Amino acid sequence: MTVLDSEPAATAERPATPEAGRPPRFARGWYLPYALILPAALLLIGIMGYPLVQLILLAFQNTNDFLHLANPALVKYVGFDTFQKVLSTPEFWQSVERSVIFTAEVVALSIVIALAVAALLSRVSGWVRVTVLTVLMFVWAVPAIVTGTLFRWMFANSSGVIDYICYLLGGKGMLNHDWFASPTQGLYVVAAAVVVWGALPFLVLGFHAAMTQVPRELLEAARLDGAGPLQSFRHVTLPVVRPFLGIATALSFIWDFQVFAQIESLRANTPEPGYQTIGVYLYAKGIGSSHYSNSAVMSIVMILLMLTVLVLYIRQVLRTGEQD
Amino acid sequence: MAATTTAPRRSARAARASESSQFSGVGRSRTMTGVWNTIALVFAVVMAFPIYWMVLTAIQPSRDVLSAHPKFWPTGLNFHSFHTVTSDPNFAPDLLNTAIITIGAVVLGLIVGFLAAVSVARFRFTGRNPFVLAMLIVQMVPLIALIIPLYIILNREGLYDQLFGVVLAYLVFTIPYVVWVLRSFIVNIPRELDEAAMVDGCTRWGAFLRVILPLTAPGLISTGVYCWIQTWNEFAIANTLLSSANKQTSMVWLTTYSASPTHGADYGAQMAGSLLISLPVIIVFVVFQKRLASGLTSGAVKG
Amino acid sequence: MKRKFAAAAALATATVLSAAACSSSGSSGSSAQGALSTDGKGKTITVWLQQDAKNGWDNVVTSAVSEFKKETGADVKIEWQTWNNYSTKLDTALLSGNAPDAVELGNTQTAKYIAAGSFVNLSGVKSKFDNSSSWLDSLTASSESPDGQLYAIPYYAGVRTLIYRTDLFSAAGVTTAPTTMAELTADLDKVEAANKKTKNFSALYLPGQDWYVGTSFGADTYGTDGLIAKNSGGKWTGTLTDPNFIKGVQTWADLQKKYSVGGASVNEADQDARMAKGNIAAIVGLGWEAGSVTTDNKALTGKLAEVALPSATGSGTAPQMLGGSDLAVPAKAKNPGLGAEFLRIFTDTANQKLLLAKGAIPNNKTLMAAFEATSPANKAAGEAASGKTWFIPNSQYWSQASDETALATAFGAIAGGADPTQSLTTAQTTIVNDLNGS
Repeated sequence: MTVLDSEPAATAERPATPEAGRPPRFARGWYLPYALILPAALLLIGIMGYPLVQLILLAFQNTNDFLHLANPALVKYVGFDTFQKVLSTPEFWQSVERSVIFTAEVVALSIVIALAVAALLSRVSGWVRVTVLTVLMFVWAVPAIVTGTLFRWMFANSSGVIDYICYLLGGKGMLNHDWFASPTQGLYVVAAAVVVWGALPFLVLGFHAAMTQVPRELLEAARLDGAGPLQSFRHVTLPVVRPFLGIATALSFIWDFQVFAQIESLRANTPEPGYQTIGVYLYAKGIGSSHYSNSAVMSIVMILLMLTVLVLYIRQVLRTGEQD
Repeated sequence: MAATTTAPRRSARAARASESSQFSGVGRSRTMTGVWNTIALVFAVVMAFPIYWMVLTAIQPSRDVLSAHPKFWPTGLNFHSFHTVTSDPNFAPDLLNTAIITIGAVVLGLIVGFLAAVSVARFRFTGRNPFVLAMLIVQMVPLIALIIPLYIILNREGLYDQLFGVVLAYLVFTIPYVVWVLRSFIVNIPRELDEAAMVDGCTRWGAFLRVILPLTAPGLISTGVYCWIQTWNEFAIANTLLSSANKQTSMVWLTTYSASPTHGADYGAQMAGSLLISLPVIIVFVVFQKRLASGLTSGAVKG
Repeated sequence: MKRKFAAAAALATATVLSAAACSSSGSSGSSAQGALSTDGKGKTITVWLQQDAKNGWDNVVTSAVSEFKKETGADVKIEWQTWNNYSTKLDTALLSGNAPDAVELGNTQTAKYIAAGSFVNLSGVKSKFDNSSSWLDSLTASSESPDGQLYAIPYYAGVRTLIYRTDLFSAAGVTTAPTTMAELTADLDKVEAANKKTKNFSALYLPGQDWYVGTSFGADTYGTDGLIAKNSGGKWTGTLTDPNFIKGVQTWADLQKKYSVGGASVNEADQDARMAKGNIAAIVGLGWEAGSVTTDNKALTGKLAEVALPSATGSGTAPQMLGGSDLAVPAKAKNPGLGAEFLRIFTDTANQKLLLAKGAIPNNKTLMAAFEATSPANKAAGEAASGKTWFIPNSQYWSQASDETALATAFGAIAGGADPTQSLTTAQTTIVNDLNGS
């Protein structure tokens, strides 16, 4: 059954050709389906379509300060000038590079750890499993802003608990270590920890659920054949989990590439340039310093960068639906 | 993902029941299980630690919070951080705003989404497939990329700094999600039921409201809960579109509070505030966790 | 660039004038552009003021509100603001129909709105404001458009001084306040030695991202003209990487490393709260910050004193930024006349006298002597304000989010050990690009 098909599985007795099984179209109520989707369609066109159009228009304008926002008469269409300006700013490409590296790091870590934990969960006692899943539920509930604020406190360089733990574990000089002094550390260690911590619940739960679909007999057969845990994982578990793995990776990329709230709260609302992944960067340039058109160009680039992954994800979802 | 919902409930429950027995069986050594248990528990401790630290900081007396050697156990219970937070004049109004916006976005999303889901699940019409695909694609557009034009447009329409403007903006992710998930719910309700109702004299609308709606209730609850969590936790849009201190949402309140000169170093208060604003979501989570876990594997798209 | 600027300002003025003429609210006599109105029976005006007034000189606000009510019959609704993201909030408010009738804004923020025509032109009623002929120069500069039209009213000024713990200093054997940098460092050494046992003790707490203080040290050795960037013939060039500027910054970095514990990557927002915890002997802060410290920790009442930060080049005081706030009437206000009248009352001599008693520098030179006479702390502030002061490049393109953040980041990096020239070059590129309108 394809994802888009509305015939339920129970009607298998119906003729094979879809045409013959179609319910009669009432001449009187033909408008009904359209009427039902009208509110949704209108709202979405208004709240997403219209801004998208505005975004594209902005990208071709010179609205780069408050002056132009306040005096629309001064706004001019400048063709590709804004594009050229933004795309030739090294700062912008640094931000893109930062985003790509950050996203790759976070997605890789999240997926690998989640897979490992999900596999682990299949080998532990029942009460341990319940404990882990309960903890993960609580973690999942914590809002992104709270996570950022919380980690900012934990990694604070005076009275921060992480520094203290490092100190207890033997790092004598760690007591006042400033994790945020170097953006490299602050972004790729602390911010990454924030995002991974928040991402694990969904992934672990998903992988765990997917792994329960692995047929028990296959695992036992593999064990009897002498396969070690790693081998049975690779050859038995992984193929079953692969569809969700694909979806989870794509989703993780999509969410992590857009990271914004965590970094803002981690740096108390003023993230330094070294922390500015593309979402944070376009916000700082757009809303922060009023370079609206520049920011629009950056937004378009961001959407385009995500497009490949989006297409892959959508194809994967459709294909998964077809496998039913 | 669709795989799990179309399978009848029975086998899902059976699968869960057999989980514990599925993996414990011949050849499972007790020491290995002990090792795995330990590792899993260490993982649980590491994951739970930040939450523990948040609660601990919120209830500790302030001199302990800022000591150079933090204590891992509470030395005394002190709720003065909570008093500080609740006496902030913007705390309660902002909490109320968050509730209003969340309820608005969820209720509107459910109503509009339900109607659209019924349409695509029960009818075949031109444009149906593109519409459903659009529901998927729309959820994938990064909202942060639309913030600039949203800001400009809502400002022009006089909806800047208005709760309703934010509710509208949130519909962009509640509606598509509801449509996407409820579609598969409704598809699984046998067509015969509403046809029977119509034979008994119901109009089509009556069939929808009396037959489909009650049967979709579980789906409505799980999508409603999911949307509740998404909107409650949202920050970027609320931060951009709301500026008056008493019109903001709790998430924005927390960031302003934590960056203010008076409370920037008061981590006890920040943690108390964090805890208080996370509480509604945590409660919702705990109450509905079973539904969420199943909803997760049956179409969860936004994290 | 200058021509475009002047043209924009002219356009802005014209827009404001015509907009005001079209949007006059009829019945009252406030339809004339930029006039004061006293007809407020049954009306309520909205005024945006920063929290600083609420925490620092609440009595001034109360006095102005009741005086205004007596005179016009109108009520005043004060909406308290915070500086965080204030610029964005102002952007939208001033564009929309929901503009308040009077706003406070930082003197570093006015240029943008003046250039965009968001404020009512008050040149015609300037003389009605008390002491307007002796307004402090740099506050006036930030209230005027490049062609000399008045769009904002100076409110108060702020200057940073060294705020220190007299008890800790005297316990360490320091008997007189430091007047030269050499004395200061000697004193700090003594204080540091006497408090070796206190955990995380800072003899002088210098947050790394406090670019105001870092730039002051730079201005000390470079001078105050063309600081940060200078404008020649309409084009801006950066001066942050000038060796003379770097010399001062290096002094600051050395002090930070030697005497300050744990503040390299944070800004000055919470330094009062930190000082109130007791393990900091001195900070460089604005006048009202001392009050903030004692409010947080009553035990420190009477134990704080202020002195102008001495220059590192041997004589006098180090130039401080003359910060402060201005007040303006949005062009889209519903009751501009009443708003302007409120501002007139709010900044009149009586209220300014109340203001200066609370430690804020008044907006004019006439009252400066009175200010200095109120307390030794204010004497220090008055000295610093009357000496050489610096200001940011007064351009409509200066933004907090981009340029001030760039400076804060640069200084934060320097405090963390980075090379000053390198960090400041990065900041300079951003600033010069912004100022040149790109």
